[in-house]
Amino acid sequence: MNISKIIKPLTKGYLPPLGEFPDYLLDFAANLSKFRGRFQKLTSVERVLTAIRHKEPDRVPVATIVCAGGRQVSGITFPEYSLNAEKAAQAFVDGLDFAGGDVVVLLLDLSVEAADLGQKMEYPENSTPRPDFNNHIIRDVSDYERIKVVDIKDAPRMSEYVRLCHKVVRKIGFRSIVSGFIFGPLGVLAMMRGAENMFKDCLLHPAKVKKACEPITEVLINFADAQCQTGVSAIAIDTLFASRNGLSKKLWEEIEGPFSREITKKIKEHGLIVGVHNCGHDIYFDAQIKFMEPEFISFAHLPDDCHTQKEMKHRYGDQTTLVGYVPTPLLVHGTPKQVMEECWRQIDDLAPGGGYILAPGCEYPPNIPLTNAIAMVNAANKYGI
Amino acid sequence: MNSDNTILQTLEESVFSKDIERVSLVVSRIDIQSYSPTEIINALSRGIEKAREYFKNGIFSIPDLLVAIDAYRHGINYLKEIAPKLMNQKTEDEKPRVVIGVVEGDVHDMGKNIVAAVLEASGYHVYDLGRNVPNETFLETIRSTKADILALSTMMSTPLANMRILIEMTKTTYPHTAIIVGGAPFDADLARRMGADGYAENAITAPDETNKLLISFASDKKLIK
Repeated sequence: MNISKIIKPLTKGYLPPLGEFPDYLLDFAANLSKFRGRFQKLTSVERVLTAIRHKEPDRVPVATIVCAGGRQVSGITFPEYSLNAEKAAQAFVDGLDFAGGDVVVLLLDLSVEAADLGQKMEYPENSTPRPDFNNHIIRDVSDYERIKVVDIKDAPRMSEYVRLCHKVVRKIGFRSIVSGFIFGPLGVLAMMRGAENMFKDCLLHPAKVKKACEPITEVLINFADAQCQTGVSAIAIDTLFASRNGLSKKLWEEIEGPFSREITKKIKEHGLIVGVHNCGHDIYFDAQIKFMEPEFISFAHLPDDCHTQKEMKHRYGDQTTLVGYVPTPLLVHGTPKQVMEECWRQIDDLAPGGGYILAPGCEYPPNIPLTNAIAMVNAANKYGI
Repeated sequence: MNSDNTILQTLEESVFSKDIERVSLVVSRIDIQSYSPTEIINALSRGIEKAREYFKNGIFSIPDLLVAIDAYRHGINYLKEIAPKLMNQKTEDEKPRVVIGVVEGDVHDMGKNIVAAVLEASGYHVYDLGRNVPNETFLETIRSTKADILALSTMMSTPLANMRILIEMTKTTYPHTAIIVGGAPFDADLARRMGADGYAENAITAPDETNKLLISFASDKKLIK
């Protein structure tokens, strides 16, 4: 236990890294919160920490994953949100203030890393940034070896993202848990090559893809390192292609698995919580746990080896904290009552024993009203009443 | 035509075993006088159908399917190149016509590309408009092709409002064109609320759903109620 790593953040008004505390102390605190939660309302931080230590808090914690949706409250455009840390920070805080919840996930957009690795991006007014699909920086397999490591300090999007983490952590303080975000190596590569071509390359030229993942992973490790120093409590890594929407399990383990492990090592060195975000179908919980040992997995669909949410809870509930998984279509078209009913169905099966955070399966759809994000928070508040 | 089907079986196998070079070799060795283009196309299509089955059963993943589609396309393109006049235009005209594309505001086209390929292999005449397609382009193509089906895809929630407008315009202007939608933000309920007639849960089941939609639309029944 490094006392200075605990004292310094506390004096500056934000949470110290959980990993600096010994397990017995965290368990003691979680048990205390569990007991206290029977009589008193816990703070968001207490609630989340109790849940991820697999104890039952006063109520299920909620991560609304209102990210770009917070722009609606702040009144800023998508490009401002993506490119300006101050405005983005305000959008995340406004989203939390407006919709509520216990966790802030700084899922800015998926273009941050690829943009700084040289991929040209488009910044539409009404949607998230995207690569210029007519102008991929990696045009054929021979280009993979041309990817070069960039210094985070010289990388404008990643630097701005690090500033965003810093600002949100200071604004949020002890109010909530703040998580950084990293797109996994293959996700970044897909932005630079196009997903379709990259998938085929994984099958036909795996050695070249792995070679490309080396500099990308080095950048992502440095990016994780920089995020860790801002005071975020966790970092979620998006390994979308560890699912039926991506590679076979065997190929994912061969290509991205080892690289994802390296990134998680860096995060854990800082004592931060490692999370996985994967909104694919039939995701490979087992493979991702094997390589990344995440404290939480944020998911949109059941894992490939489970048929029901009860089975998922039984199989994985003691290995990781489950974060999910209100369906995006329901958030788009459902009434608040329907959303609350779905939340209650999930809470019924997934919350017992802790290890569960109620959340959408993916980012809260950024252009729809925030009503159903509020419905999720209400569902958690009113559960069992 | 030739009763020896060994070479056609080899062609079929080459597609689902994702062997692009073998497809080229086999197609180049086929005696075009002994086999009709339809027989050859059917062999290539059976290869894709088998690849689709493999995906459904978890034997194939997305990369496997994509490479099998490349092998199929390789064969089809070679055939078009060497025997364009032998391709039966009448048969092409009799195929159901599908206009497909990723709606304006989205550029994720991998799922759409898979759907387009498997629909083509399933006997549809596919007009693939690509990605980020303006509503006017969809409407104009429906008009010019007299499309039976409009297949719309998006992987994002942000283009949904515009997509709803396109669906309304299509239903008003071309009421005999059935509309099927698919992509990450959808489920059957949202597809229905958007005004679509059908919903494909994923790229692999899209041909089955499209077939059902054609039949049900012909009998004036909607697939999703």
